[in-house]
Amino acid sequence: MKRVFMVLMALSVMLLSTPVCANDEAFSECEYGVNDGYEKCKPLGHGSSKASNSAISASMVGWGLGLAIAIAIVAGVLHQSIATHSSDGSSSTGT
Amino acid sequence: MRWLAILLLPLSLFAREPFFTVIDPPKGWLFTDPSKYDDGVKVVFIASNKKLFTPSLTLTVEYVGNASIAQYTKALEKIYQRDDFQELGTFKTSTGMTHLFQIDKENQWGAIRILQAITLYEGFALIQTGSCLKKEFLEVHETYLKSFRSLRTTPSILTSCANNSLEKRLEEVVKSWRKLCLTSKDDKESLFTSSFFQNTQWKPFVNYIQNELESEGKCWQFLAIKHIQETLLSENPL
Repeated sequence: MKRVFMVLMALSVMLLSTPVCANDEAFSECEYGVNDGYEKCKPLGHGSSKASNSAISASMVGWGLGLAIAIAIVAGVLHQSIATHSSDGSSSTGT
Repeated sequence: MRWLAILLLPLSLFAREPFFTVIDPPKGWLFTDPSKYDDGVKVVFIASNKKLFTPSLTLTVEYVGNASIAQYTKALEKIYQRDDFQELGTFKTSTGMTHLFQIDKENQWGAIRILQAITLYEGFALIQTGSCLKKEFLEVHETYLKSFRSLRTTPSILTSCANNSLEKRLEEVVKSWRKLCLTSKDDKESLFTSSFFQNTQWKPFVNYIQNELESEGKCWQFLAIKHIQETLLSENPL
């Protein structure tokens, strides 16, 4: 029961795009000017912040895919909804 | 090779980064759903399906222009000012000097440790990030360091692959794609997902990479397909 609850909570966080780390990593206005010349409004270091959040989200959700399904999704060969349904049973397809 | 280089030259101008990056993930780790990746995130692996908070590893790329590692570190200090942020030191990879950082933070799962290896390369920050529970850090930190050290970049996909057959296969796909773009008024997304391109070019090419280039490693296979797809979709055929 606890596990189901945890999974539901993790799913809610993912689906609602809620930031994992609330406001503690918000950027100040002045930092947005540092990363000039490319994709305005993204401060220097945003990649690190995004990477940290992605890593934590992945650790929390804990749904792994095998290579075949991952490639099918990234290549657009497999429709996303199909991938979502089959993700649980696909971990054994990894090479 | 020369003809393909000429064909691909304009492609590289529109690619997100003008090089190809790959890592060797820990053995047995699984991919996560790539449709959920944020912009800039290349690949995410997790250790296990069976744990509530499982160790993960990501490869992310950020454009940093002329920023130095000192400037980047200063930015990180500000970003992680509410966490326990430490610069651990440096080590060398084939791509260049890599800087290692450790970030400890608390969330609903308890104390979490993030290990981040950052390499500045040709105006981009190549960011490898490992995340795990702090209490499990000692079990996985060597695994993370091994993957971090495996980072390598090549000027193109072709130079990253030992199998010469890729050149010919990629040439066919690129030629067909360019022809399709020049003869149709549809947008690139529609052309790419059209049954004609999918069935005659893309699906056979994906199958080729998946089945014939297994020796390059699963991370390479995944990133190669992602990179080629992104490059085709961002290409300006004119």
